Amino acid sequence: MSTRVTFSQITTNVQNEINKNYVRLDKLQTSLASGKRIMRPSDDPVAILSSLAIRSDISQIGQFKRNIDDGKALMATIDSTLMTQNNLFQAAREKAIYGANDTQGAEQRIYIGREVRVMLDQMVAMANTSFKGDFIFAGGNTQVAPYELKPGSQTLTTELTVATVGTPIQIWDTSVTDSNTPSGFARAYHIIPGSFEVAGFVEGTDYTVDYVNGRITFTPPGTDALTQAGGAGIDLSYEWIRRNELDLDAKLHREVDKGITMQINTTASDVYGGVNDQTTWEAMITLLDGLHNNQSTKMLESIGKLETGFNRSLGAQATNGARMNRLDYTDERNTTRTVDMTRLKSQLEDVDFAEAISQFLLQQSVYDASLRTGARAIQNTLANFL
Amino acid sequence: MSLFSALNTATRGMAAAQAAIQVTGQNISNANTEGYTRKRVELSPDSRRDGVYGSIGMGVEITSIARIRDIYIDQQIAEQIGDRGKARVMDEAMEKLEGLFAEPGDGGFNTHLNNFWNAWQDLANNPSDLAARGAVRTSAEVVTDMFHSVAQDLRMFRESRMEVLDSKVRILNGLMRDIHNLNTEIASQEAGNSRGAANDTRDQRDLMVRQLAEMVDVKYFEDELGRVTITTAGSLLVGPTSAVQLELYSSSKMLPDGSMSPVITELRFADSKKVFTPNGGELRAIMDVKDVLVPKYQNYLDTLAKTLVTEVNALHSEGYNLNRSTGVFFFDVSQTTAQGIKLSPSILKDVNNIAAAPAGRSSLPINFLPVGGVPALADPVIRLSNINPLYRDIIPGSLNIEWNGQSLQEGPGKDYVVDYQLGTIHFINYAKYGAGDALDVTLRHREGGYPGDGVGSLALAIAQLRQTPLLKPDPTGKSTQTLDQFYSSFVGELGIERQQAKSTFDTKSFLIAQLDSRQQSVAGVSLDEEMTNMIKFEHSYQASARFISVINSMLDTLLNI
Repeated sequence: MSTRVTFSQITTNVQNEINKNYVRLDKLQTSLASGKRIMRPSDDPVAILSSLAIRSDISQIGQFKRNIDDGKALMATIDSTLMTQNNLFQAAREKAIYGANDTQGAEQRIYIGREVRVMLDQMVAMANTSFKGDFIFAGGNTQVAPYELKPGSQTLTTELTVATVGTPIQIWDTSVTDSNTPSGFARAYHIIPGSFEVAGFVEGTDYTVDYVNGRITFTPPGTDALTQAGGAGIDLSYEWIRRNELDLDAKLHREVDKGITMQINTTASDVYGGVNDQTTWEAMITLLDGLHNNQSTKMLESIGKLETGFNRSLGAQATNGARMNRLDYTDERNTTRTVDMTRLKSQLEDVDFAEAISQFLLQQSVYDASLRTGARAIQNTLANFL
Repeated sequence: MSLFSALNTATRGMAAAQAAIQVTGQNISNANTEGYTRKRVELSPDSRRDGVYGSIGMGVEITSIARIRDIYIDQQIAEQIGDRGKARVMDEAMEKLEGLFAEPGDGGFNTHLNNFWNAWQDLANNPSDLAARGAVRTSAEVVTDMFHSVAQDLRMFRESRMEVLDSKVRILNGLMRDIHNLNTEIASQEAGNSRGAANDTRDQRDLMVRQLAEMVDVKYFEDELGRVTITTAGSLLVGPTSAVQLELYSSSKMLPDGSMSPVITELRFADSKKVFTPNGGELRAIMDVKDVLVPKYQNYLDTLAKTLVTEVNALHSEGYNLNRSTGVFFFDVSQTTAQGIKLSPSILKDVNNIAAAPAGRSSLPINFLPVGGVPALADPVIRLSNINPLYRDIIPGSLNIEWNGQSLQEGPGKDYVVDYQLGTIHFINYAKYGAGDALDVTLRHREGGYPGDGVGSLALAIAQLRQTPLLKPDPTGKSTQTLDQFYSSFVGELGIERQQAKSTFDTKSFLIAQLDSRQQSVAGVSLDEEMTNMIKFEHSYQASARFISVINSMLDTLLNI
């Protein structure tokens, strides 16, 4: 710098410096007022990359938490439903053992049968439990009840001839149309013993029923009457447990962590057995059959079947419980990660107030100083003293 | 030497002091005038006549009024100021872009996209919930609105650069004309031997050259007649006797693939029509902002929109919605730019058209010849379900029909229309077929059927697109960046670019301030100095006057003898 200093040099410098200091002061003030260290990408381009990634992560983990909460609520409903379900199994098994006792008379077994029937109704209600309007055991078809305790009816006409007496006849529920079957009606099965009535005929004497598979067999003693009735039609009425024909086995998943999905539902087949399994309903129907028709062999048979159903249901509850535990762990980990991420985000984006305030005060005094010295430096010229 | 000649000496002394004080006055008056260079009266003793004993001299002579200025500093400033202008324009443009993307904050794409993906997750959790469906649609609309508004702002910004460029070129043309005029003026004023006659005109011209240098990178020199010649990148802008004029024109080049490139703006000389490409200065920066910088971010944004549309649609169209149909697109397929992105009409009409459930697996392509070929003319419809009950839910795009070895066209007014869901092919222009002509139909269909209202795994799959690399394929063709990463990397790029522009601007500004200060130290008016000079010249004037009065009394003495 040469030694000649001119008026305009000083004023330009003073202006520049005051402006520079004021800009710095403004920047500090803005970050203090907003609490943000990074206001724009160019403030720290490297940090902005991390910051955006962390924001995405936090938002995702928040969503995982919602997914988990949602899943856990469903699982808690499943758990309590299965708990009740298993109690009902226990009670049904006790009734089976009690009823199978040879000291029980037919009359008493009918009464026990009424108790068991109530349990069955309760079990169907449990199977149709819904959560937030969705049936919990219905797989993907959550809008339709998986099981239906429905009245069925049929009028036998041409099916019954002299030739078919003594052979089992399939029972069709003519109140339900089903285009997939040859008859155009739904095939009835899991018919509830005690609800079955054939107008004008007596069970045991005139006919027997395979309640599990839905078949009726007329026995020779009633043949005369049958052939008479053949023209007029024989009315059957009953109640049966119909499994919804939709797919009830879809597994529903929630994403609980990046790329990790977990099944959260328990399907009807998991709890009650699939279409080809020996189902809970079969066990209960067998028990009711035994109680209704005073057959201890059926009751003994049902004890084994109930055992199978009970174990299946217990297994489903255990699996559900294990999944809940896993969700808890994942949730806990996600919570810890959210805390970490939020801290990291804050470190990247937020102002360190202690530092910022001390810088602000420093800058303020620098600004002050530049104003004072500037004012002095441009005050006088030689003209003041001439 | 006579007493009369001594009177003359004193008069010239007074005249010189007067002139000097006038110059001092001029300096003081212009102490704050931009571009003003201080002047100084150059004096020399007049010693034309020799006395017998040596030279006494005939008083003082004003040789010139000099302009005290370091022209090399001016040259250096001219070299730097173009870079500063360029950096400033870039910085301002990128500040605007940063503002558009609004990151980091709660109003940027990052937040809106996150909400969009989360909405899909919520839908996966509650596929039959209308509120969750509404949330998916709303969050998607927020995203599309954001795309529209940023794309629109980018386009407007780009267009406004055109106006800025236009006005800059006008200013530039004006400057070149004015410099040329001043050249002529200076040359005529200083013709002969009157150096310094055009001092103030020179100040004016220096200022203009500096303005010019901020707009275009220039080199210049002054010839012996005082005229500047200004060149840029080998082209003459202002010559000793001429000044060029520039004009803007828009052009679009033919690309190797036969298509036309986007319209770009170029500069050319108005008379020769030769293209002029400035290498620096504000002009270069404005052109770069308009044709390179903004298009780059427009491209990024379009890529983002296109990928989002394509990927979401690819999954969505395969899924079942609550109305139990497939093949519905989530975004309008015909709109794949940031400017145009929008939801498909079916989604806008009914949120139940949002697909959350997956359709069954797609089968391998099947190929069959309909029995009897083209149906009888009375019923120009092929029902695939008549051939096989499984043949419904045709996967869009998988269907191809050949008639006598020739591909038929799908679409209203063409050869056939298809109901993909029902699996019917309706022939339109069927009069051209002969009954029983051979048809070769290839298609893929779905197996499995509708999985139920409560199945949301497709929505989950869409939500998981967020974590899937979809962009920036590596050499093996594998994508390496998710949408999020792609977006943050271009926001990061914007930040880095602005930081660079800002730091260039700061560096250049500092350099120029230094140079300016040095020039001020030479050419600037120092009031103290001028005050001192004023007193000096005042005294000098008084002394000369006093000298006249002494000579006067000497003449009195002589005349009174």
